[in-house]
Amino acid sequence: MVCPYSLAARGGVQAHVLGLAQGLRDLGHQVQVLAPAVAGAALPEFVTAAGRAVRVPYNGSVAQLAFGPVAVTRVRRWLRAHDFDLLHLHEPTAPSVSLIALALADLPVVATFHMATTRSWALAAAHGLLQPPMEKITARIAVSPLARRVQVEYLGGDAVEIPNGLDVALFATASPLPGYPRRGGTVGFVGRFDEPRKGMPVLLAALRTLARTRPELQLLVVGHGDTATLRRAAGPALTSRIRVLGAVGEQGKAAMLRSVDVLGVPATGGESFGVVLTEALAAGTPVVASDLDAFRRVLDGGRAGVLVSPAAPTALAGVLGDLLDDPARRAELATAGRRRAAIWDWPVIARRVLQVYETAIAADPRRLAPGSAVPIRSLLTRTPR
Amino acid sequence: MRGSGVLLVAGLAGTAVGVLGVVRAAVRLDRLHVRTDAAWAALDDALGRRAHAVRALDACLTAAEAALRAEPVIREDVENELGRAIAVLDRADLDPACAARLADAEQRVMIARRVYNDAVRDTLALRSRRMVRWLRLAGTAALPQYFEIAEPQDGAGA
Repeated sequence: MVCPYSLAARGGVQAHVLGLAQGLRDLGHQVQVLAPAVAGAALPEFVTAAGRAVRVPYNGSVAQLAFGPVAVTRVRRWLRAHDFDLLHLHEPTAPSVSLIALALADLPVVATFHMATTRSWALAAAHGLLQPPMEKITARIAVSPLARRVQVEYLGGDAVEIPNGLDVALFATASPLPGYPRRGGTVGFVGRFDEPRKGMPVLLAALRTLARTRPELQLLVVGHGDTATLRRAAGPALTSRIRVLGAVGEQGKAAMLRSVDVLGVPATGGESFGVVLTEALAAGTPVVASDLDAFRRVLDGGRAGVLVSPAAPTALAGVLGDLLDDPARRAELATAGRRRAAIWDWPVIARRVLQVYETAIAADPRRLAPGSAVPIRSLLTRTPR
Repeated sequence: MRGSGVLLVAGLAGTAVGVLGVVRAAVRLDRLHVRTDAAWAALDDALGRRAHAVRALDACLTAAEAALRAEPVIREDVENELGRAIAVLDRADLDPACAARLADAEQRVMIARRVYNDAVRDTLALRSRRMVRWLRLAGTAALPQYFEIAEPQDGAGA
């Protein structure tokens, strides 16, 4: 498995690669990972460092990529050192070790596409150059409907959709923060709270209504943003009810989700999946989320969580209030959520990825004996439109 | 004299680059044809598995038998027929082991179809290039065709 981005920076792709590799290993498969990293960095034992990464502005943010003669040598040496049955490349269009491995590979290749930008001049410009190496990919995986659309529209291929996995155990078993769950009702919010698209203003408006009749109500916030601005936006009545934990990492987020009575996800649009929803479901935290396509899919059409119209503070306040008053309904949602979250557990996702591996190996030309090519060709010619 | 020498060298270099380009395209095309054949073999296998999984259920027997015997000419129609028969099955009624095997077989058909159609798409893209058409680099190989069957709407997962 090859990851193009440096493991020194922890991003979604890196977490996916390590989680999937671990999931496959837990199923008894042998997995080796190659990724840009400096030698001596603290890495799992199955990871090989492909050398120092260079910070490059790529695809709207700064990516840490590795390329050049040193990277080529490392990739070649790594491929020789292991007798792989299959190569799984992540984001092979990024100019890094994935693309190098693709150029050097002489074995079945599966590629996972994570990117969900619908407009990329770099991709459009590189299409002609990338086409020959891309022809070596046997099977493609996209992590979201949007990533699949990028495939279809820009890279001329289709892909099997398999979502990101989730460390269900981490969220299911985390201990709540000291003093939680507390009396009086606690509503949670996770995400960049100063980005209006994430819906904090809607949640604040809803809570202002609820706070009038609930003197103990608290809003617990995890995520990046400017706390002073948030408190000003909350207004004098609400500011004392807000507790901001800031950016706390995975463990802290799990503890926070286990501490709140209900999580509010009032985003107003532009969401492609909703990782925080899956995390809350795994933690058994009841979720109230905006009725957006992505969220509806994650919440199984509303069976695993409550959906409310986006940007409708009154409706949100009503639903939050009902849930805070109804422990039985919350327990019901927690059970439904845990059941739902199981489909993103890494071992489950790893099994779905294995199906793709097995198909890619079955579709490997090297499996066809030279003599058998003729009958198959004749079969093919008779395949109808 | 020197001018014509330079021209000659430039001409030779140009021809060499041209020939190299043609050879490269031919190699790519051959590789794509082989890839398409292998992908078809995998798809054929996955479709067979699905039909066998259905036959084991004792339900939709006729459709499964038809799919297993199907002439390649009507393969898509027959597989679609089987797909529709499977879609109306009540999964809750099935033996859990059989139902799991059927779901697995369906998933594999979906994956194998993507893999095969990807190979066809890449092959057709290269074969539509002017150089490939004019120089008949594809030889007598038939144009590969997409395999179009309906996919179950409600896949596993989100």
